Amino acid sequence: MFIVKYALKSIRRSIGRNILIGIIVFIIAVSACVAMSIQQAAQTAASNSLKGMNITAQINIDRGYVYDKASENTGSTDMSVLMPEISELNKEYALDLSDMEEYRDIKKAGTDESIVKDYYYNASISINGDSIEKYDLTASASNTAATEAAVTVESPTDPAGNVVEMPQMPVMEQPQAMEQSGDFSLVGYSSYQAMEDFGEDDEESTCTMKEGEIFADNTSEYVCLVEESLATFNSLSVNDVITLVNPNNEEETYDLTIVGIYKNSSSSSVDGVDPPNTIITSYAVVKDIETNSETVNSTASTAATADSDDDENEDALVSKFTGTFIFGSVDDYNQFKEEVKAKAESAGLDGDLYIVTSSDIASFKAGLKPLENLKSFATTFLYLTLAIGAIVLIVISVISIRDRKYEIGALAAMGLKKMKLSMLFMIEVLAVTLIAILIGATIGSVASVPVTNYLLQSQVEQQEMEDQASIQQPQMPGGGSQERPEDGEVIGKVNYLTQVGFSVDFMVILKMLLIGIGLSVVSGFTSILFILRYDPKQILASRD
Amino acid sequence: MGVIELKNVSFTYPNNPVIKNMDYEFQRGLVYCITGKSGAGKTTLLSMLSGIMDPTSGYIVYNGYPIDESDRYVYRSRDVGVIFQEYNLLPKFTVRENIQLSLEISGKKLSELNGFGTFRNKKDYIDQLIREVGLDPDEVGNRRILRISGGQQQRIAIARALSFQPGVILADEPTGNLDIDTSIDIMNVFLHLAHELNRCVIIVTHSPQIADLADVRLDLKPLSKYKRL
Repeated sequence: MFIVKYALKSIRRSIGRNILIGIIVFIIAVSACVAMSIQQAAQTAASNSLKGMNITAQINIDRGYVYDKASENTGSTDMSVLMPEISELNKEYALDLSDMEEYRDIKKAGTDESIVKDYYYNASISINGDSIEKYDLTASASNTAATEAAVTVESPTDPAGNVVEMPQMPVMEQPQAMEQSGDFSLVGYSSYQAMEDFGEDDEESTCTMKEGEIFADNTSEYVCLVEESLATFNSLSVNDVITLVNPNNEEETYDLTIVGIYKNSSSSSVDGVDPPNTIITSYAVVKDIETNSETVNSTASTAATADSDDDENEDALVSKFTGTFIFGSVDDYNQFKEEVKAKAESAGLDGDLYIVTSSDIASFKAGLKPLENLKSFATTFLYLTLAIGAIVLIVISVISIRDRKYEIGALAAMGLKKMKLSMLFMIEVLAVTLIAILIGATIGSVASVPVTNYLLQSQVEQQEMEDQASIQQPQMPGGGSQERPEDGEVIGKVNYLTQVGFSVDFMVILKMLLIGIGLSVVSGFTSILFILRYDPKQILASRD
Repeated sequence: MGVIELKNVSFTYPNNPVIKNMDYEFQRGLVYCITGKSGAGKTTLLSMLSGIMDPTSGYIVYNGYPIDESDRYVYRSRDVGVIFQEYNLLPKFTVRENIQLSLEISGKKLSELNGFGTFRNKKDYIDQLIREVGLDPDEVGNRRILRISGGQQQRIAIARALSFQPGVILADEPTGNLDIDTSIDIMNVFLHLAHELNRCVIIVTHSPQIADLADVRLDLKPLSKYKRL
């Protein structure tokens, strides 16, 4: 007990030296606290956000796989030879509503509960306008500076999966659009929920209603929503009727009544169609048009080629089906990916043919990138701080012990055992270190949030500049520096995490405590090594 | 059997033999004065008796046990009180703290220490020790060592060595910085410890007056057998 008393008195009596040690430990503590807060914030942001997140995902055909398969089948790498084969393969492997419903019914292992929490879908048709002209976004692009930190959603890619066109770039030839290349995309949604881009207050939403109303879910009435720019360009208003025409058959027209006008703030084109040229209707209408087109063109085709066995009708409108699955957790999403792979294999297909992608997860990961960068920096900074701090403390300990050599000799001559002497020095270091850690951790935890947010803001700005630079730099097939997310996942509009909340929790406090003890041990053991080496007779003799 | 015995003890600094084949028994109840010229090995002998230095050959026995085999720290903290020539006080601590620290290291309880009367608490006991060496505890008790004179430091070094009332008290020039009256007072404390409390007091001194007050005087000569006067 007297050792503790002596140690505490000794701290007071050598206040200058201990303040110096305290300041160093304090700086380490503040730095470590901020660094660990950043680490904790990154971890918390990742786990908490994913926990409560509804994950939307889609199943797509792996274009790279189809390209390889087409090359294998044709024995050529010439795109003009490959494209028909790719087109055939795409048709062969295309998933329809019944396929999607099978996937929807996949159960969680050992339960009757479905992995899929919810499910919706849409179908799109490439079509021309008869009574309306398409709105050319590139013509007005010079007036709209690309300031939005957005990355293309489902950018047109070549068969190998490389990005070939970025938003707001001059339109390039679209290999996928060769079947029916219309000016407009008529997209039919199964429900309002399927219209993911629509919303009122949601920051993620890019589409908002300006006039009129959205039609009833999956209505069979020929009604539609048009984009504000298109409406203005063609002087359209609610209740006007637009006529659309099959690009391959000018006789085949469809009249749709405009029930609403919406504004799309996105500049990202989908399948080569600019956002203003997307006309929205219900899934039932698109399917009805498709069925009707099949009938109309089948009759015409039969009359034209009465002696042909080939009943395939190339002039008919064909919709592109997209199903969207909603999962309640990342685990469900991951299990679903495995199940899709297994299902493909059980059907005698390659397990890699279908890929499950989620723009939510990809966007979420992309949104965390600045924080992850900051975390990486903070981790390096933490190790550096601890290493430098430990070295400085060792040096101070060595100097301190040399200064106190006489005291050690005197105490040893009085019969104080080396073990107790070591304990004495350890208590001194531990007390000073823990007090400094306590103050440092308190101030560090208070400072960590504004400091983290300030650093995060800088990182976000830097990231946005990088994004902007990559958007302005054209990406060519097989080249370019833009990273494509894992598994070909597509990234929607990236909302970077710019703020973190209070991030010092029990784990951070515990780590701080361990750092304090660690530094004390490093410093204390240096002292102890010297103490064990010293001999009182030598100390006192040398003093004489 | 003496309380502390030298058994054929020799000590040699590198290329400089100081003590050779010394045999002697120190008895309880006596004050010994070791005299001799500089370099005769007085302080070296005291350091060996205190257990701080080991003989080059031979050994030292305390109460029948060789001190190199016993717990050296226990010996230094409980059995032998050393008054160093340079005092070896802790300068950042007060007079009372220096004395109390020595007492705490010894682990002895107040009830075991009856040489200077009975006391309610350690502070009273420490104050009495300060009085025994001729200082006023109220005046110097709370002063740091650096704030008192060299003479006062020497007295506090003596008080500290007396604090746990060891069987043997070793003093290296304990009166070196004191005037003759105070030196005689200090010697009277040693004589009281030896005669009344049956302690063995061994003093190294250059002062003939102090040596004359001792019960036994040992004159060391370089590389010679000790000579009892």
